[in-house]
Amino acid sequence: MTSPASSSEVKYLIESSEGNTFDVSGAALRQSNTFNAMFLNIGADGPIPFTDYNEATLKKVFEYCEHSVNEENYSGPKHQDDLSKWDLNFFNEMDQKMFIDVINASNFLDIERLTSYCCERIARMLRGKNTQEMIKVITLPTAEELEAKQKVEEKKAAAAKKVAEKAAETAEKTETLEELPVQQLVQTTRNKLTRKYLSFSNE
Amino acid sequence: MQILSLPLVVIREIFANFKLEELLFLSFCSKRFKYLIQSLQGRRFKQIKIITYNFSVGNVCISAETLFSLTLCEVNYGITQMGVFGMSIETPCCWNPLHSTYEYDKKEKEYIIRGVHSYIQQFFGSSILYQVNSKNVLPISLENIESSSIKCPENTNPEELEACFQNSPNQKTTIHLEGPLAGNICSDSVIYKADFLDVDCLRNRKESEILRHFKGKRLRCMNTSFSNSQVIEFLNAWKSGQMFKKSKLLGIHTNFDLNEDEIMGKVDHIKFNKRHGNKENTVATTTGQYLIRESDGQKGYLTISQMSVHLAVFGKTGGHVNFDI
Repeated sequence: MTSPASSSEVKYLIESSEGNTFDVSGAALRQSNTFNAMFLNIGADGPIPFTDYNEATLKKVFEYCEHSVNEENYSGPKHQDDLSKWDLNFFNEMDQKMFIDVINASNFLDIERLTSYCCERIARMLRGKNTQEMIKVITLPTAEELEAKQKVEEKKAAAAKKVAEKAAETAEKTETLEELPVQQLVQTTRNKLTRKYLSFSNE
Repeated sequence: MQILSLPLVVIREIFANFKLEELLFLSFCSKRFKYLIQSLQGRRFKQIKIITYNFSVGNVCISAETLFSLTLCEVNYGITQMGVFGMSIETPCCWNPLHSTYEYDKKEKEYIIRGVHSYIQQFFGSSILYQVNSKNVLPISLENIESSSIKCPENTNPEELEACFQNSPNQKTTIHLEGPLAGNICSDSVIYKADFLDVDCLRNRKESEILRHFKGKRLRCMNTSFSNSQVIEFLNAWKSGQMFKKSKLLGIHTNFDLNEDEIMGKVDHIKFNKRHGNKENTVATTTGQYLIRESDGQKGYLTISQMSVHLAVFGKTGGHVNFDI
C-alpha cells in the first residue's frame, strides 16, 4: 500500500532485487534524499523498485533510517566516539560484504548520515596501520595478481584476433562465390566481423 | 574490503576523513591509490602554498603552515622494512606509530631525504614554493628549493655551505645566512646570485666581501661592524660603478654609531625635498638625498640613520622609495 507521504504513519512498499517487497515508514524513507526527490510529492503506485540492492541490504539500510527517525536533524558527520551503543552494534553486526553493499545503497539513496558514518568507519579501519596492513584492508591486488590478470587479458585479445581473422577468411570465401558487387561485399564482411568480434568480447 | 569498487563520491568522503599527512601515508599503498587521492583531494592540496623543510640536529621536519606536518628522525638501528615515499622496501626508512614519526638510517640520510622530497613534490605538486630552514646543521641539497635560511654550525667550510645549494643554484627568493664560516665564500658563489640575500654578520665578519661580490637584487646585512669611513668608501665605490652594480636595494645595519653629516660631507650627492602626508592630513616636507652613478646616470636614494644605511636604486628618473629591508 503506497500513497503520497503526508504523515509519518504512511507506509511504503519497497521492492528488492529478488522481487520481494517489504514495508518502510514514510518518516524513515524521508531520510533518503533520492526518495524525496523522486516520490515524496508525487507518490508511487505500487512498490518502489530499488532493484539494484538485495532485500537484506535494503532492510539493513532502512533499519538504520527507522532508528534515527527521532534523532535531531542531521548536522554534519558525528565522530565515531560519539556513536551510541545501538549504532556500534548496527555496524559490528555486518560482515564486510554487507558493509560495502550498505554503503553503496546508502550512497544511492543519498542518506547523508549513514553514508558519512560508514566512510568514517572505513577511515578508522585504515588509520594507525602500516602499509602492508592497509593493503590488506583495502584488498588491493598484489603484483602477482596484477601480472596474472594482464596475462589473461593478453590471451583474450590474442584469441579474439585469431577468431576475427578466421571469420574474415570464411566471409571472404563465401561472399566471393555469391558474386556480390565489391562495395556490398566489403560492407557485409565488415558487419559480420564486427558482430563476431563484439559477441566474442562480450563473452 | 574492496574500497576501490565503491563510487568515487564515497571514496572522496572516506579520504576527507584523513589529515593530509595521513593521506600521504595512504598513498604509499599503491600507485592507483596515490592517483586517486591526488585526483579526489586536489582541492585540499591547492590550499598548500609553501612547504618548509626544517633541518635540525638529528631530524627533519616537513610542514606546510598548519595544514600538515611530519617528522623524520635519524636512528642507528631498529628500522622495519616498509617501502615508504615510493622508495624500495629495502630502503632503511619506516613509520614508527609509537612516536608518530618516520625513522631513517643516519648513514643513508642524503639518499632518503632526497627521495622523500622527490615524492612530496610529485604528490603535492611543483607549483608549491619549497623552502629550507636549518639550525646548527647544514641542510641536504634538494631540488627546486626557492628559499633557504641557514644557521651554520661552528666552523662551517664555505665549500660545504656552497654544496647545500648544488641542486637548487638559482634560488629566486631569499637566502638567509647566519653563523660563523671558516673562510671566505668564493666570489662566483651561487649564494651571491640569490635574488635576496640576508646575512647576519654577528659571528661572521664578512660584510665587505659580501658587498663586493653580491650580484642579486636585494641585500641586507645585519649586525655588521661598519664604521663611517667604510660606509663612505662603499658609497663612493657605488658611485664610480665598482660595487653593487646590478643590485637595486641595500640595507646595512651596524652595531656602531654612524654620523650622517660626516658621511654625506665626503660623498658627492644631491639634496631634494620630499613631500608626504601625515596623520593630521597636512603635507610635511623633509629633505632627501640621492647619489648619481657616474657610469650610467642611475640614481641611488639614500637614507642614513644612527644604525643603518639604506640605498635604493631607481633608474635615471627616480620614483617612490620604500626602504622595506
